[in-house]
Amino acid sequence: MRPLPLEQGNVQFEALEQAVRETSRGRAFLDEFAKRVRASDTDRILTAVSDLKNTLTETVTTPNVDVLRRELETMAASIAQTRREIASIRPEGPGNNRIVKATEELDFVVKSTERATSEILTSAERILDIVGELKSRGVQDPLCDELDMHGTNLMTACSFQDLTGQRMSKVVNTLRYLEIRVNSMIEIWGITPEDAAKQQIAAAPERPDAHLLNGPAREGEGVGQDDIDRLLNGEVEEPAQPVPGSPASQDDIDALFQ
Amino acid sequence: MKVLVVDDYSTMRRIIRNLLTQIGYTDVDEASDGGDALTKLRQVQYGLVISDWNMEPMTGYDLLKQVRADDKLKTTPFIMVTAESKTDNVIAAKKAGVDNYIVKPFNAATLQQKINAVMVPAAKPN
Repeated sequence: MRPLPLEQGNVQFEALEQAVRETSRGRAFLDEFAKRVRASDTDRILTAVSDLKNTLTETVTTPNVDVLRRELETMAASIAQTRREIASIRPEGPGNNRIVKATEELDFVVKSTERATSEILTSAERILDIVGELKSRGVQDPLCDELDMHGTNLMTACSFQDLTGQRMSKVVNTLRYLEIRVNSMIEIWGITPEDAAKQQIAAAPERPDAHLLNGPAREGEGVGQDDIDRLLNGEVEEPAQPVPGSPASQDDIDALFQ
Repeated sequence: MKVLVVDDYSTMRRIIRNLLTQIGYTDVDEASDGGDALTKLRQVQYGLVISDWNMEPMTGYDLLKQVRADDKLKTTPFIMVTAESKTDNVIAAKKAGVDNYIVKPFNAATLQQKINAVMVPAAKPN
């Protein structure tokens, strides 16, 4: 049914209402109808208020969302940074892991001190032997007693090697533990050698002579004083293109001194 | 009298052996851990054991307990020479029956003093 125009509709509505109100049942119907319409309107208004309230609540919590987002961004940045840091200690190649190298250096320190201690001990023993021999030959000199005392002191002082060795072992064990943990993290995060290479470049030391700083050479590495003297005296030619930081093999060195 | 020196560091065994020789104990054997020492102790009669604590696979502490639990060895004088210097260590060793305890590094005089205390029963504290 098509709706009537507004004015015409009002007239007809009032006429109809008048007609319906003439009976008690008609009046009851109209009262009930009006009540239901009001209830429906109230529901619509309540829904609208609720919507508004929700909108306002969302507006109020927006700063918290911002804080949360910022925290997540910071966390993500930290994770990325950690990943880069771990990548920087990943080995680029065999024997090039920093932790492995540090562990080897400490092992080497233990062996070096052990060797040095043994040499000192041998000298101390020799001093004591000589003193004993002198005394057996009838030498009665207070210097013999003094030598005896110093020899003994030298010998007991050598016990430092046991203590430093034990301390070094603790450090080495800690480094090995760290190595295992770091390797686990590398595996979990899927850090590739390419990632590691990028980080190695990024973390390159600033000292211009850093590529020359390798610390004391181990046996089979580096060159001896005689070789150095020959090199400085011009008896041996320098290599045309030295590779920075790369260890020279014995063949390379031999070639230098031919 | 035979003395058994137990230490995993050969340098330390050498030092103790030399010090023992200087103070008159020339019959000295060496072992590199508790297990090695126990084997030697069951083969040869020793008058004194001087042992480190921290060794592998058998520690000096375990050796001490094994010695004290063995009817044939339990009266053998036992001196612990170790870098383990915490009170807990000393108490544990004492409870296990150690006769004396020397902390590394030590000197010849200390070693001689402790040996004398162990070898002369009257000098031992109750």
